[in-house]
Amino acid sequence: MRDEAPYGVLLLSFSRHSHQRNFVPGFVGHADTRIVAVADDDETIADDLRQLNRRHAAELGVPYVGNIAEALARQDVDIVSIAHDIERRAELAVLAATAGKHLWIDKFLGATLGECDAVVDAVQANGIRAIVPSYHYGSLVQQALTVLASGRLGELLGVHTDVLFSKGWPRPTNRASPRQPPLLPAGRWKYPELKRELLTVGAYSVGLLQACLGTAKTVIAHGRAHFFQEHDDSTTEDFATLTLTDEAGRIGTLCAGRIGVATHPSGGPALARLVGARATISIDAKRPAINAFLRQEIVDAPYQPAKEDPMQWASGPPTQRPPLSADPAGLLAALDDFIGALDENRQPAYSVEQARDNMEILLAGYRSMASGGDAVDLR
Amino acid sequence: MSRPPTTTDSGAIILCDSLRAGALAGLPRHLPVAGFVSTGGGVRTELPRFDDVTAALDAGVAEVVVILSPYRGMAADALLCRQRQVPVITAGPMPGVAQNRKTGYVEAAGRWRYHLTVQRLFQSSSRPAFGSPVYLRHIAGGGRNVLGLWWAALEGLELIAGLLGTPRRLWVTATRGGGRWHATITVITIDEASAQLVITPTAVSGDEMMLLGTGGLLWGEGVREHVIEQTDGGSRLLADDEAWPDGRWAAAAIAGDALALQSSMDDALRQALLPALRRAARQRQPVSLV
Repeated sequence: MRDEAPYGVLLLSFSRHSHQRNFVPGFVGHADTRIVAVADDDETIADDLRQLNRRHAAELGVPYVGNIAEALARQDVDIVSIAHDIERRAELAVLAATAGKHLWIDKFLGATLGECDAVVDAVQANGIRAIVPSYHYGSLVQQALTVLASGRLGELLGVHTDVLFSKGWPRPTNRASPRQPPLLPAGRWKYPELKRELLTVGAYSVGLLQACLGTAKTVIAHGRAHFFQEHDDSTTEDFATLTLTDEAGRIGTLCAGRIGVATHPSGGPALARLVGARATISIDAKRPAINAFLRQEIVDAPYQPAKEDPMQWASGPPTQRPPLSADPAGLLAALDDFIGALDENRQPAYSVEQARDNMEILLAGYRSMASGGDAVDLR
Repeated sequence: MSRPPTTTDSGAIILCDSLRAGALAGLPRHLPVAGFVSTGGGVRTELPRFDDVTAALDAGVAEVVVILSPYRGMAADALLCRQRQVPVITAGPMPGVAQNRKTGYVEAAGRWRYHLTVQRLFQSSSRPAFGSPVYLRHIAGGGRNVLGLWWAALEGLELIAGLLGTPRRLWVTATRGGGRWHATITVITIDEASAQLVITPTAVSGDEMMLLGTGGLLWGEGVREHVIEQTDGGSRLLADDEAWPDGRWAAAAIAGDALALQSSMDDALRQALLPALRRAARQRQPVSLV
């Protein structure tokens, strides 16, 4: 624990598309942070989000500020946790950086590469620290880095990862109809009741590939709606695969998607295989775990998602093999790294530059998908 | 878990490298085995060893030569066997050589069909609850050299076509390091399913296969299915030699079973895959084949 007062944290929005609710326990529990306020721009958001923001502020016992500029002017704010809709994230990150606040950013810097670049520039220009905590600190990446550091693999040749969310209640898509390639993003990611799943789930796997491989050079991707009518109707993907090569010719592959409840004992596979010249090592981020086959819980399992959360963005299905780790996503480890970065005036392990490159790889994947599977060169 | 092998005075001469060595212990349960020739790497086996194919043929015990893993001199060895009137069965093609010409070898491309996990995947994926296939992830060994990589890729492609349907796009990526090869084959089928085949440079005992359908997930975890030995020195997985399809396949191929012999792939594509693997590694970027 630091000698100084804890860093004051401003929570910017509890958008239902974000993970702000997952960040709160870390900020509350960490000795060096305290939440000082919740804020949003009341005039620009829907009423249900206004109510949600207020409810969270009340539960945390902090003020709710209905104007973001006003909140950023507060002297007790050191860190801004940005979890607004992806389309507003870059604008808010630039505002907060310009106000001299350090940034904790949920997954994506912005909706386009240009927006991501603007955030990177703002962070560098204002000399503040920024972390994107979602990708680098979880069990999959950390176990992979430990393996790489051990030298057991020999020369690393490839990394292959499968991350799937066993969430949502699939309804058959109309597979008989002609199926168009998924739409290019064109800056639009969010739909009322679905998420683009290469972006949403694939970003975690891209984070692993970034941690292990060099700069991506070529990307091939494929995605379609296989599970959900909502994705089929909007010509978006609920499942995707991506293959990339880096500048050294090393290979990375991933699959990502939302595949429906009751398809995996731990809520979905989270796997990595590290292929080296001397060894191949398999990592299961959901292990070690405990098997829990409790008859009553299985036969009475409430697999049907709640009506207010049909894709289970804020909830999960029952699991029969919960992992032992208390922090499988690594959010607490990320917060420790961020506090260390602030105290020691250094970069955290995963900052805005890496998040920008993550988005660049995903966008190349979307271009490949839209072309029907052509290779897209990044450099 | 391996049981003591049973060898016979005459029978099959088995050729394989160290990546396939795990299959050797189970072979005598399926066919008479007279000996073994290593095609590369250190191979531990209780089978009688011969230095090379010539020595095995000179011993007069070879009723058939079965090549489980490819090597550079196999075409010459196949020709020698033909001259000695000993049939040759291979689990894959020879580069640039159509079978039954010159060398007279018989390629039995159906080894993958005798893999117990594959058979269970086919059974389970035919259940209505599985729905339609969406994705296959398959991890297989084979990249000790480029020929092994090629054979593993061909078997993987047969599996992909069998489980998911006809490819409409096929990308090859490959790389090499430390004298070993690693490749992935990315396939998109005409029904918009996809597959990622990963071929490692190291042995994989019990291929990992994950088949996703619209109705759920079928998953053979490969090495995690093995028996575990725990001693003061640590833990170790004991490979199940029945996890290897080679014995069942070889016996069926010798008997002329069509399942063991047939390939579902176009021969031109099969031959084109080998230079594509080399080109992908050289160019350090994906090569499109379909």
